[in-house]
Amino acid sequence: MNEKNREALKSAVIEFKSDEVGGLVDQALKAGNKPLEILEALNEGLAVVGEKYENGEYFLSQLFMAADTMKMSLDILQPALALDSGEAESQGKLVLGTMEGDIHDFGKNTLSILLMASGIEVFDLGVDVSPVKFVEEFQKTNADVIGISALLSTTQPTSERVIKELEARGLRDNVKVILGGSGVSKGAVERFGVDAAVSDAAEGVRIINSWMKVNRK
Amino acid sequence: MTMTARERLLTTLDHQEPDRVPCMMYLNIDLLAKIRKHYGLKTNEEVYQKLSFGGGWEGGDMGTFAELSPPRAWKPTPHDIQLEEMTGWPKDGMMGYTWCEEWGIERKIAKKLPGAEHAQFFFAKFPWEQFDEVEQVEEAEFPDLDALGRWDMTERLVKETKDKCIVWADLQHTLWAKAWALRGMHKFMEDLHKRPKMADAILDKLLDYWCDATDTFLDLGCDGVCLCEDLATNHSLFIPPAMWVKYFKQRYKTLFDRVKKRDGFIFFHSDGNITPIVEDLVDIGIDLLNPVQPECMDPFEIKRKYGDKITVSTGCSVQMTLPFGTVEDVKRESLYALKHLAPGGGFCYGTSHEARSEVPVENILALYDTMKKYGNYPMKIEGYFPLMT
Repeated sequence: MNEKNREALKSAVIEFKSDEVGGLVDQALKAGNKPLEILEALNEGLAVVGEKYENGEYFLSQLFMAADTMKMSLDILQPALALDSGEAESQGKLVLGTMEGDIHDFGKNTLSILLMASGIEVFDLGVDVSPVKFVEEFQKTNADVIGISALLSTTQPTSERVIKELEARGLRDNVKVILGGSGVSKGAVERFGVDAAVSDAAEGVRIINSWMKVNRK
Repeated sequence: MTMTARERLLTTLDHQEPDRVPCMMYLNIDLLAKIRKHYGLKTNEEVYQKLSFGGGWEGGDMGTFAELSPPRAWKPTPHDIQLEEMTGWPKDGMMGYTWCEEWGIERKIAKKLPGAEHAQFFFAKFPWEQFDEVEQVEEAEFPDLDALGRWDMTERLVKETKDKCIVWADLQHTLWAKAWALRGMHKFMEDLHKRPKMADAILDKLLDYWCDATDTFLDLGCDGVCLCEDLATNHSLFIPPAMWVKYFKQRYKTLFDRVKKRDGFIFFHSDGNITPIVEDLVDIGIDLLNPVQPECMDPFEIKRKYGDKITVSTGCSVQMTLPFGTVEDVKRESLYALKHLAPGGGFCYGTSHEARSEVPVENILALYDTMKKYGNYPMKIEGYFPLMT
């Protein structure tokens, strides 16, 4: 792919040009570019958005708009990726849900879109998900990571029940568990036994991606 | 001399030192039940009475909050009844709360956690989500302010409590929070970024409505207005500060000018980290900023920079110290705040937001015991108090 097209795809995500991104992906495909190359260019844009969010230059609405732009581009790119077998290889699997007792889902949904854009298969269980359900879904999908969303301090401690359930089934060493939510502090790792605790979606994406990379090695 | 809650908060808002630091009390129904059991009390009013040094109502010294009442002819829907039962909102308490959703916003209710009386709910269906045209917004109907019974709660609270405490007109979700509740968070963010005419139409419609409502609230004797806007996550604002200024600053000012013209006060509540726009809020005349959550913002910096213009209403962390800390952690955090923030007035303290069922009773009692013992003016607190991390 030439540099100009690459930059156009990248900046479409950074500047969340949702009206243009579909056309750009289509053009790039018609010009004979490999779907995976197109995905890489889009992902570069998304990585810049994540950095801008983490350094305070971008805000949540911009993160969401960029994720939405990415989702629109993937809707067009996915069939080509699927046809190009071997190239659409999964980058890892995540079981995701909002913890039992809570139904907030904005952060969870943003994380889900961002991860899907990275090529990760997301098994989204929705909201108000019981600890047993998280573990059962992990067993069913053989996921690499369980992602628990818990905005409320009331429901954060329930993440410990996911850990206990994994331990009871002898599965704790087979999976990483991340707890996320606006009010989640780093102390949650020690408190509830999860592997990571994050307070925003961008940080969650970074950590989950790093775990997936290690798993793929 | 002991002041009434009214005198105490008025003195605080005037940046003078009252008899003691006004106490903010925001306890959820399951925590109230735990405290009732601990003390062998029968009613929540008795709990408030016991903890708030005799204040005796939800909110502690902060006052009472008058909402728009449902019309007298209103018949609760099965969903309203379910919400009332599942969420445990008191029907017959001091606030006289009766669930009434007249805006068409639907909520989803989560499963109750083991041992809890209270279930979490959140917005799930947004009545304006499918609107494509500005005209649809302009033609949409809002709850009728002239409906018979609309002002019952306001009239009652003014009559029954204004001699004891401040009575706030509770506008609740006003512009930002009501706009996304009607439109959906995603859709409203798209409006702000990509469809400015739609965003303007929604915000203008809400502003007109709340200006009209505010006039009546003040006519009936409310001392000021309280807005609950929740503009941020712990990390940052939902939207860029420049976008907030573009869409919201002038609109809030229009509303606030209306209140100020009648010598009313502005109580501005927003969860999360709103540091980048505090100066703008001070510029347009807020009197009290709440809850300045200590895990999101720096209340010490806010008090240092703006303490001569606004009252800082903050509290012990409901996300970390109260639920997960020890009694000693709670005492230390409270003493540190009282020592550094209370001198000179313009300061309220208590729970930094709603303290929920996971908070141990001994922690919440430690907070109010510390306030009782050390929250009296003039402040006499010595020592160093390392904080929980």
